[in-house]
Amino acid sequence: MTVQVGSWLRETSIERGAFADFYAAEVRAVVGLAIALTGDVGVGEEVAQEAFTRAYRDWDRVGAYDDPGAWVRRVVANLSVSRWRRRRSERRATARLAARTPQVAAPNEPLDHAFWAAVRSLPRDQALAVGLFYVEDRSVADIAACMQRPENTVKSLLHRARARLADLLETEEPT
Amino acid sequence: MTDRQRDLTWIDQRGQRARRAIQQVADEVDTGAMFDRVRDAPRRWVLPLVAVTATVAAVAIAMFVAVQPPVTVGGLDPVGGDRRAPAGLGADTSWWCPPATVALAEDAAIGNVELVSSRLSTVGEVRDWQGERIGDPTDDVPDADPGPQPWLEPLDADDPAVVCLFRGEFPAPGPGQFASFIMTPGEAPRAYQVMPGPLPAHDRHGPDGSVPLHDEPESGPTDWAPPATVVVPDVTGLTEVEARARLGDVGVAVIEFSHATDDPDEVGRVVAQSPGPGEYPARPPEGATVDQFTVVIEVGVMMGEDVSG
Repeated sequence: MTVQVGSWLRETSIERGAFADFYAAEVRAVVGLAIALTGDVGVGEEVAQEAFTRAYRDWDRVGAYDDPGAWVRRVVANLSVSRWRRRRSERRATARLAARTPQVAAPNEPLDHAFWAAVRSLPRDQALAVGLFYVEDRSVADIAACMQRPENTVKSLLHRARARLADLLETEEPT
Repeated sequence: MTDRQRDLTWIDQRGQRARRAIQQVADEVDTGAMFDRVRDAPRRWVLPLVAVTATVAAVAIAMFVAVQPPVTVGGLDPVGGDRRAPAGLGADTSWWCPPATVALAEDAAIGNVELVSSRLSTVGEVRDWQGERIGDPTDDVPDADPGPQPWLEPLDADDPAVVCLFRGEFPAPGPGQFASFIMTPGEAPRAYQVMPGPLPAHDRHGPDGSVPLHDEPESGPTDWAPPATVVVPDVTGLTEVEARARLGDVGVAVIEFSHATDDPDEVGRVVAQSPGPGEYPARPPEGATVDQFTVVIEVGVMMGEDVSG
């Protein structure tokens, strides 16, 4: 990458290339997680962008972690539940979307707003565990590593979260 | 298959369908344009002038601190047990450490140091018990109170185990008042104070000590009278419902955490409480910004539940 004129922060091509690879590998899953946890495509995109921006700013530190993707996901979870950050993200998303034609097409499978709304009503740690479990289809071990919690704790979180979702959502016969 | 198992299976199926829809939506997002915005976002500039300014400010603060009486925090028990108002508090003390107990269970909620500190930076400094400034002062702060935020998360992976328990809203302290909350990383508790105005001396002795609090002369003392006490009963071994009823009888709020266990006798029962049974100050002094006395209970949940669906 070129050095920005006037910038004090000189970027090395090696470091920023590594970030680009990391971004390419993680962006789809992180955006999906952000959309699920915020309930809005625009806000989810903003939240994911801010999480990656923070990672990019501190890539010297974040890039040295064993799992930078886990760090980004935790940031997404934090930003998703922070009301005032969400309001800021909403304002930016609204301004950006107003300037361009919406590019997000309707999914072939409709978004289950009730399901994700129920997920967002859970306590933050349960919502993140459920988000990783359902959005990214992660194993309990992966979720535990991402959340930096013991596996038994994650099992407990998922158990309580799923039971709570079952109580919140109208029971249907499995198809 | 039990009704509950059917419900959980249905939830898992619904979650899988929801995942496919989310992934389709995420695929439509212009991640290339997002990458450009990430790359071009304003940077945190490291300027020699900032370093010089910080050095000058540190020298000035050190000189100011040198003439101040020592500042201390209230007594804290590292394992969240017997927490009492600081022994050194007197009538001229305007700060009271509530017995806001922090659950040290593995699945306890964790606190967002940066978020709290950025929010509170409009009303004062946020420092840990060692006098270290925490949070990023360049972060934006909300224009208005965002409302109750009882559970928060740390953003810094270098300090992932910070645990924080808030009780209700966290209003900004007024002149002469202090809002306090407790964060506990693992086994080592740390107390944080929000202090409006100039920083007092921070010759702190550690989180499990009890030393008098410096009274901020600019804000004036707040009258402090010994509060009424509350006797917290021993609710370990009771069911959650029984424990809540027993604690409700003495007028304390209850917050419940899960405690994974492989002992069936512990499932559904209180396995730990914090603070432990005993007598505590029931209310903060007039003018303080803390809320109702709260007891945290840990209720057993069977570990090893099959959650893979």
